[in-house]
Amino acid sequence: MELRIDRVSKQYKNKIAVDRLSATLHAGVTGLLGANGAGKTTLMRMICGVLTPTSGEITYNGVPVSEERYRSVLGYLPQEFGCYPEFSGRDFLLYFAALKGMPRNEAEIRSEELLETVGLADVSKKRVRTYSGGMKQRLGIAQALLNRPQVLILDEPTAGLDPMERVRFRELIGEIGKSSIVLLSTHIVSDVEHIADHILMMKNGQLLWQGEWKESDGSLEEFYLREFRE
Amino acid sequence: MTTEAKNRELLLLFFEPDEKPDPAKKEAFLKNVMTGQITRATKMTLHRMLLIQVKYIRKTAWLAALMILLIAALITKGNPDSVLQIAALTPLLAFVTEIETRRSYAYGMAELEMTTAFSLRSIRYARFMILGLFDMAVLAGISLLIRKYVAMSVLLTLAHLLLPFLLTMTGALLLERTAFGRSHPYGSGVLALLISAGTGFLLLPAGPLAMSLNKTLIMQGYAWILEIAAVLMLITVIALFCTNVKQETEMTTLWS
Repeated sequence: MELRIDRVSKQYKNKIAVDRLSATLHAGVTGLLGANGAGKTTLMRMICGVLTPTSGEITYNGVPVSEERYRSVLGYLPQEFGCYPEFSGRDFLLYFAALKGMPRNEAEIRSEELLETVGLADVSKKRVRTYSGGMKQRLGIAQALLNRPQVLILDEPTAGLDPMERVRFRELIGEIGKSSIVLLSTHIVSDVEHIADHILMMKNGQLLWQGEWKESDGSLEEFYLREFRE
Repeated sequence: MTTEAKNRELLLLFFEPDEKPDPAKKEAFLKNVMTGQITRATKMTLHRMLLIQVKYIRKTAWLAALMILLIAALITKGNPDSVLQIAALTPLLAFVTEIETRRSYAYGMAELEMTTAFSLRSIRYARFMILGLFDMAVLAGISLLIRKYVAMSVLLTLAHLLLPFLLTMTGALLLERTAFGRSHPYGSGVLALLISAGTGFLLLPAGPLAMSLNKTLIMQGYAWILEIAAVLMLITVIALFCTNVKQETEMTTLWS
């Protein structure tokens, strides 16, 4: 299980959002840290095949991320997403299950299971537009987990979650990270400090630092602030 | 061994199997099953994919098309000039179809739909195909319906109905590719109204011009000129439409 990012760049007119970035991700949780505008979202969109890199290549087990067979093992939660106004939480999950190619009966079982996991079972028949920000975010997380992804990309997943939900979310991600590649972007160091096996730090589109962070290395937050101050 | 002893042994075997399944392996087992299913699912037929999309097309899109068919039936009766009046309605049909296939962008679902096994492009194509076929069926139905009252061949009638329809679709695609079009999702509605008005008010009152010319040609046995002209116009618009669809697809891939 290997997600390889090979000298990837993305340029918008005269702005370089991601600059010759290389990294290899394996099973486990990888935290992607960086200030707003560092290029995290652009990198994640390229990993999901939403954006095409200007140069470089991204592959999963040798398969380019633009291929359908890669998308069938991908789970993605974008920073922001909308919903068709007529959809309930359950409809939303069933719709994405259908797009992910899941048979109807299994989609129903999996949706119920995930609605329970993210604590939305009671409101599953209510329209998504009536959900709070945190509820919508939890629904997005459930959507990303529908197909039991081998590659799970989460862009600022804790935005809008209350402290209790954050703790539950970290536990859930830690569990998924045991058997899948999880890439989680955030600018809140505490979100990844205790669950990430690997850290990537981005600044101005470039990879500032990458490696494993152990408790013995001290505070990740202090290191992060030091690196970003310079 | 007595029957009772045998039964007891069987019951013991049933309730206490030698090797219980390892609960820790449950998730891994389910994952394998799911991955296998998904791999098979991505090889799903076009037929099944279309069926999935049919379910998610709003009822209003179907109803709008049927309403146009109903209005056509009402206008047609005993009205020999009804072709252009009905043709004026087809841009509205095109608008409904266009709006339905653009919902992903309008409601912010595009980014998520781009990352599923069936990508956003396939979804849009599927919706275009389903609604396009339905619209074609409606237009063909209208052409047959008005055949009794209008002195035009079915081909010519269909060409009259298709031209404003495809012009609206092409215009909407062109508009969608501009910054203005993307920030004004209902701009294509205004365009549909303009083409509708153009067809209804400019061509119809120009009856002395367009209709009398048509009638003269038909009466003199030169209807084939009109047919060839209509077919040529249709081919041009279809080519323009296809070029735009292709360009829009490339834009979607590079969407940012």
